[in-house]
Amino acid sequence: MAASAIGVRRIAGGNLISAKPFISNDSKYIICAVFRNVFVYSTETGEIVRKLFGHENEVIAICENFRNKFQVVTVDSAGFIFIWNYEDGMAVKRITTNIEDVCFAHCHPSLPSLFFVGCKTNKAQVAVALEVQWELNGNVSVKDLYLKHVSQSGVCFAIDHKGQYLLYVKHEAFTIVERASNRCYWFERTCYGKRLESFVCIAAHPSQAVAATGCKNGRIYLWYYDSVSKPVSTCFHWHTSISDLCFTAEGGFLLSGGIEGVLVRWRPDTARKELRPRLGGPIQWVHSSKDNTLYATCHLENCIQLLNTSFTVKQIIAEFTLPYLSKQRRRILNTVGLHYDPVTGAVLTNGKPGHVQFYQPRTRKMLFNLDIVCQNFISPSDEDLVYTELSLVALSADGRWLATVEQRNDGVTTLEHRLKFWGFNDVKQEFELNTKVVSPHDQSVTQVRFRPIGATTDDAPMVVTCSADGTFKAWRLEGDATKQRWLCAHRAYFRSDMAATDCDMAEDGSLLAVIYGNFIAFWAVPQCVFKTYLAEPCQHAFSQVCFGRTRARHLLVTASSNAVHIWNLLTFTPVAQLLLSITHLAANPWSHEIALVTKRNLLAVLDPCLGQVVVTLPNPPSTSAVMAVMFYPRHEQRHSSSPELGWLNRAKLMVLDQRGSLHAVDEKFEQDEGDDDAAPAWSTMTRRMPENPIMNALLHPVRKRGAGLDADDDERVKSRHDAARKKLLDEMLATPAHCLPAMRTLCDFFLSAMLSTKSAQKDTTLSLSDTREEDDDDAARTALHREEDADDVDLEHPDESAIDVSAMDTTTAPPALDTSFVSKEYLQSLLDLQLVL
Amino acid sequence: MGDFRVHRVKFYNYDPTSKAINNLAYSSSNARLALSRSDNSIEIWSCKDNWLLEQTIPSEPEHTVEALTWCQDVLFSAGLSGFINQFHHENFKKIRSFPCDGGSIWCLNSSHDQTLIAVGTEGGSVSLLDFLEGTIKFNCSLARQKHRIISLAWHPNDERMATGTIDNILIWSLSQKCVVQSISLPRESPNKETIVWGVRFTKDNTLISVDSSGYTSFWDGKFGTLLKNFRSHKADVLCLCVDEEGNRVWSSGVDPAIVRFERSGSDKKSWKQVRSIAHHTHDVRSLALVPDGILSAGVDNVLILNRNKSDSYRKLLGFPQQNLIHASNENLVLFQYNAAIELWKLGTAVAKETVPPGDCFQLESDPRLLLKLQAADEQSIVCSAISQSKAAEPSGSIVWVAYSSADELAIFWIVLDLQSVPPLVDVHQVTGMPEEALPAVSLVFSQMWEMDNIRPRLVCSVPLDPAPTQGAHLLSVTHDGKHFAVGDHDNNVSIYRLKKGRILCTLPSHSCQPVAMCFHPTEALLAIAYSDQQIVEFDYHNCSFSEWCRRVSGHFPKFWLNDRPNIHSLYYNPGNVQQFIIANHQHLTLLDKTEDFPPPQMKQPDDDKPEAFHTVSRYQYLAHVEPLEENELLVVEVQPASLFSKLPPALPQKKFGV
Repeated sequence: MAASAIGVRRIAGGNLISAKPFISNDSKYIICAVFRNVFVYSTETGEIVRKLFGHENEVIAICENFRNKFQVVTVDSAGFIFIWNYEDGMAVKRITTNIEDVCFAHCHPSLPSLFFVGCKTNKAQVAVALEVQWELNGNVSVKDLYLKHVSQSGVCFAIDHKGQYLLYVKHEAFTIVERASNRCYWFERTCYGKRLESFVCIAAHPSQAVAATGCKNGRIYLWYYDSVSKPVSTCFHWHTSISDLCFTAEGGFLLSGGIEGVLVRWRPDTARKELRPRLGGPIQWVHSSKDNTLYATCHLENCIQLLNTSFTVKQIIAEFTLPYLSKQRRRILNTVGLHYDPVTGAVLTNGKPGHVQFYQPRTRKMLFNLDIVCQNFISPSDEDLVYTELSLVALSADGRWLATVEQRNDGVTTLEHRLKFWGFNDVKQEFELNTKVVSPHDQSVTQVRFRPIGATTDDAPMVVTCSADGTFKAWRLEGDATKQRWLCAHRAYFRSDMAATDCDMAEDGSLLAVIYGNFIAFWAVPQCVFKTYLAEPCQHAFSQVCFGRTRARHLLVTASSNAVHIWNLLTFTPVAQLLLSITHLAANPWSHEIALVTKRNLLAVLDPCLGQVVVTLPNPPSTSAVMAVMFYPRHEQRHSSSPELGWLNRAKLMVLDQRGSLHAVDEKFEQDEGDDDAAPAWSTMTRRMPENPIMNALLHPVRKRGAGLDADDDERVKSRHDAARKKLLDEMLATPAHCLPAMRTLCDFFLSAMLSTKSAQKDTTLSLSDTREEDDDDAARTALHREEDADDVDLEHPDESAIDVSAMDTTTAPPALDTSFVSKEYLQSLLDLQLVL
Repeated sequence: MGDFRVHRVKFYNYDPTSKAINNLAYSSSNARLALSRSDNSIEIWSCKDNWLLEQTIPSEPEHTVEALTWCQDVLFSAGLSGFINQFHHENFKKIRSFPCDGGSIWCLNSSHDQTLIAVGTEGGSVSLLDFLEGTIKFNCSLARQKHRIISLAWHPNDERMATGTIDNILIWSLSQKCVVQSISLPRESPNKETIVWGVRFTKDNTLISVDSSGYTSFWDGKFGTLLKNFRSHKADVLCLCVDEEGNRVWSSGVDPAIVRFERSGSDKKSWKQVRSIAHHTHDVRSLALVPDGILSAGVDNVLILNRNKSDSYRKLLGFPQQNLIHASNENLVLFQYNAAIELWKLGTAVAKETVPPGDCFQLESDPRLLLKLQAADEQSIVCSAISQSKAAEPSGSIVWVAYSSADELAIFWIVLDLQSVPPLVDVHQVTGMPEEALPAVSLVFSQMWEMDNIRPRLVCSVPLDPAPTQGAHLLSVTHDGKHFAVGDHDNNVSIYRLKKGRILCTLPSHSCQPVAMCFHPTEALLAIAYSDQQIVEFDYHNCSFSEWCRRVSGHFPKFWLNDRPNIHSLYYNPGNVQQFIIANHQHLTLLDKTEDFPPPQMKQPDDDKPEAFHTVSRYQYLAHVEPLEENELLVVEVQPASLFSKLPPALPQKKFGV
């Protein structure tokens, strides 16, 4: 079955701010976590410098390793602790704790081997705090702090400057816990003597006994707890709602951020404040670098802004913009669908409120957000604000014109809606507003389409808008080259009592189909001459219409509430009927296939010529509903391995889900563009080093195996490694001599590699064939992964990281054969190759 | 619950502009608060009696009040006249005026051991006065300085004193009688001098000062070095207050936020700005430390008690608490102002039409001012009264009006004929008042006299028993004129026979002062409201509390007892004598004797269940409530918005979103 060769993988939309980022001590790098991957960005260029792969679960916290300033420690939700050398992108150590459901982790400079970890309980929003002591040798001891009612949010927990007290806030209480005696002191504050304040975040001063707590209503309380039983508190108020607080490195300033997207810098002793407004969406985290040169604000729209101390934005690290507004209002994102921009090769979709974002999947970069509504964004407060929102977007096939429809409907005042035409300025390389039409129709616009640039002689761009008022309008670009504008050229309707809900134009731009309830009316364009109409056989209203492309250009595909029909436009008769209820329909402009999304969230590809579904993807790309689908062209054409996948030759399918993640449907073996959802690969130096097997072997010294591997795995790994080693030796012999390191360093290793035990030799061929039979390589990956327990390259601990070649000796250490000589990735690629072959 | 036709009077013209509170002085030993207003009157409030305004010392035109202080429970005031006034420690009558050299007095402060009074003057000298055995004597004068002395403070050990002048703070040694430390304050601009509006010393020799540049500063009292200063306010800081331990400091001023500072740190040396409370709308002129918090007052005519413990606050209206309004029959109402009385005829509604509850009647005739009587020599009127009107021949009616100022008692009889054109209002003053008719603090008309040949005669003079130390303040007469009751500041209420002029009985003593009382229209019952919100009904024939009173005693619910202003009006409902009409500044309550009391723990009245208490808080700042005839109710309101509009402009504050 062809579907098995098709995979869905996420290519954008990971949450960049799921964990609080960490700025390295020299402020050169900022380290962020996207789900289970950790990325090291350069603060100067904003580019990804290193990718730290290894976690299998969501990364919860990124902290400095206080024993080694050039390392970071990351903690994931399953309790695994990784130590990374972020400078060279190398994993140093993985430590397993037996803690699960970690929701936050904090560490402290004076307690370098301790983690204060919160574990989720079965009660909502309540976590249990634990103290985890870890050592580099992997020893872990867990101590219960007897704090059963800590908030699950990491911002509600802090450790004081000396590491003596734990500070946390939960609901209305600010609690100080003395670590030595476990004695608790808790305090409340009232707001004007009426209600108790509800605390949402806390930050501890780096050098004094001062804590700052933020409240739900935007107040900040500073607590001077020199005498723990009777702290003195000061109140500041500017925000409407606070999300995070942070002291600068010396504690001279307090940074706060909230829903308004304004960074506020307070001087705690004088209560003076400085504001940095218009940073963008609501601020989720605030962070200050150790050398006081950079502030980082993390915004809900999935970007991190780096500001210097004079509040100038220095760098923006942005991922696929997430619909933060809808998150605030718990409402489905009003998506404008996905569109392809041939100029930049970007995908267009909703960005920030009232913006269109251009996201380039190839380079995985958010290019820019184009402000369409040009209105000052008012941050949402308690009452529900109604914004002018983008409802429709269309882009001409050559990418030179952009048509947008925005509307604001609060249900009280009259509907405000505008149609805007944007032209691409070649000089400035940006879209500029060309024409603005206020209220283009009497009622809301339901669809806007560009006329494809077809074979006909009239090549002036044309746009068709159809509306709920029953009419459609054709807009044409008029004027000379110096001054062009869009004017309404035609207005027509089929039945004025019915709303026109969707329209499409034939590939050559000669025919327009508009849906009126259960009718589809046809007009010849560009003159807009009425031709004929079709009626749905079962009187169901049509929902979508789509002309066939290339080979199927004589066919029309329509969707109604329960069926998909294919019509022959030459005879105006139905060709096929599929009993499917679908939500989305997307034509492939480079091939004749049409992608469908069913109500049950299944993806299918329809071949209109055959009149049947050729590919279905049984697994939805994600659990959340599909919001839009689009065909995205490949930058080079390829030939598929199987004839069923011919539709993937020129384009692949892009899917946007409700959570704002972009997925690509593609053939499975394709690994060239990186994969967020891929199983974790143990990151090594190899990525930075020449892809040379000798180098790989040298970088991965022989280690003693950690206990805990069962025999079955042992066998498999052993056999795989033996096979790989054979291959490696072959390659080593084939490598030109001048590329090899000094023979002195290679000798021992080379000789020992020639050695092998009897059993291993016997099993080699057998296990290789085993692996080949296993279609899925998951097992191999897990085996490899466990192997990594033993790996340790620590610059500070040369004893441990020394290349233990003697262990290779068969007589002294027989199990040494199990260890890997080769980089996992190299092996991986070998395996993949074998699979393909 | 009864239905009333309510005369909602909003034209009582209370003027708050001359009533700005300038000074507060609290004496913890007798739990009295003295406050001075900008019209130079001084009021005495009793802290123990739910902040009852006990007494008003009328202003004297020649003496302004710039400073107040208590010394051994004796109140002293001083002002720009250069005299120090001493008041009697019980009845607060002015005993003597003591001139002080150095001209106008700006500040006055008694030492902590209550033997010395320091006076700061315009001329720049500080005079020390001895206060021994009830008299003040001049002790000495400290070296004269260049600038006027704006503020002064004693060190807790009385050995040192700090004075605030223009641009300078001086610290004096009283044993050496010389300046030991001088602190110069910076100016914001070279031409704008910095005025030190307030100074205080704490036990550990920290000097705290507030000044006109908006700073609250903490100084080392020994070396005169600045420990910490805060730009806590946007404008002048006028007042400051320190708690007894010296750990908390409050300051406020033209910027009406009250900012609290506290010590922190292990050595308790560093000061932190802790909290800012902004309940006042206008300048705060004075702060006083009272047992359960901080009392603040200023131009907006409101006292706010900020509690220390719970961060809650209580608003005490700086409104007169005694009755300034009296109603008579035929819709006649007498308004008492500072130096005048006004007689009004209320409007009448269109005859007996019915409107749904809560709606307005259509007025047939508008309310009209019949008469305005100005007191002689602009004297302050202490009390007034109006009698029931009586038909006169051949037409019209006669009504008696009386008022008393601090010096004299005046009685008028007025012939009214509103039907004639033009309306006849004929005023006659009763002349030849007997010598014994002394000025009164409370007046009540009991019976109608015949109006020919008026020769005022003192019918009887009843000695009060027990003789009150501080004077009586409540007086009520039965409807038949046979008995009257007197309530005094010593918490006693006694009932007397009018004819014989002898005491009938004295009520059992209560823990606090009576604030309102009235007689039952027909039965021998007297209802009294005390300042702790208790309502008591006394049967003076049997000399015992009534059956209802014994039943409900101690069962008043929490919402009734807690944090309510004092009751100023208490009446039996003439339509249903089983009901009381009770009013304070904010609530109008109908108390039904036949219904059960809610459980005592109740914090909020339950509107759904039929209960004894039916409260209306629709009327704001009730000045007076009184039942008229035929189920009509007079409600006199002074609306907060109208009060606010009459106040001078406040410091402009930026409000978000405005």
